[in-house]
Amino acid sequence: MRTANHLLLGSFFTVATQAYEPNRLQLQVQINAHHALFKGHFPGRPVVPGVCVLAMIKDVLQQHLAKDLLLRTCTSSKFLRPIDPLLMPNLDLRIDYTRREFLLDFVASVQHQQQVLCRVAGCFQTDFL
Amino acid sequence: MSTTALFSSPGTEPAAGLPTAPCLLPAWAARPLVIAAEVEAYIPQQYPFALVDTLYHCQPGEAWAGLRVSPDNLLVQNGYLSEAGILESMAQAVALKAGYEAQDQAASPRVGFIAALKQVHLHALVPVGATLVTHVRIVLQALDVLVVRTTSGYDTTLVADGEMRLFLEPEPALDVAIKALFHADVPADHAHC
Repeated sequence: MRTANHLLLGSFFTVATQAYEPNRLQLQVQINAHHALFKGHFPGRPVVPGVCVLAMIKDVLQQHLAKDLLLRTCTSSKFLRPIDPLLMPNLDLRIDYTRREFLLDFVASVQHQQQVLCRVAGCFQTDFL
Repeated sequence: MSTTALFSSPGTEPAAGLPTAPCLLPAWAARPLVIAAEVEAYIPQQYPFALVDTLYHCQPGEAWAGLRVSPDNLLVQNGYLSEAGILESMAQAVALKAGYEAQDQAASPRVGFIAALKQVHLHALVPVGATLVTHVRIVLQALDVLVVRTTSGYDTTLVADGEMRLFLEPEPALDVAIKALFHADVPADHAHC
């Protein structure tokens, strides 16, 4: 496992269980509620930043595909409820992806006990000059 | 893959013998409204997750904010501010605008969450040491929802642009005012404190 290229995997969150299907990833991740960024977001009231969900998806896909990715487009993402890492440390992450030339389209959702917390769709660049 | 391959535009260092590129920030940027030392009084996010450090200019409907990318930033990876950092900087630019305006009107700033991102395109990453400048334009401001269009860049490079929807936490003072409207038993002067 290469960890040098992961921004959050290992420190901010860890993968508890994972299941693969073709073009689909289903994981259970555990958020580290003591990560330094929760000191600032927000003081005394930790909330997982929406952009960190995107970074988590990137880290997980990078590790799964053993490829470097770069987020190029976020076509739509909806953060329906704030994610409190103390109340919901275990999150279900489901990522569907399809290759499209040098891009990787993805649709992902984060759930906690059947409750959808956010939905994200966008595309990563997979090949670089 | 080397980090430079992530980044398709040429490097920021001018070639030897060429004059340095002119600074494209307008003159008002020389005297920012909010500087790095006092920015945490205006936004709910605090160190180490404050991803905006300067408010250059603010007017009704639009604002310019900046972030100097430091190497010890949490969202810096391989010498570049990551995509998450760029997006968060865009969101906090909106928070800084709202916080500055609230301070101007002696109201407490409201905590805002990113509710949605729409058609956000990233064109480049920001190297450590550069100043990412974000332009915020308010598209729609409702009671608890804010729709903004943001464009970010450094020097002459476009970094990201897109539409962002922020959900603002209801104001406590507004709650009292609404209760005063619907329940006559709450004293009316209570609504203004």
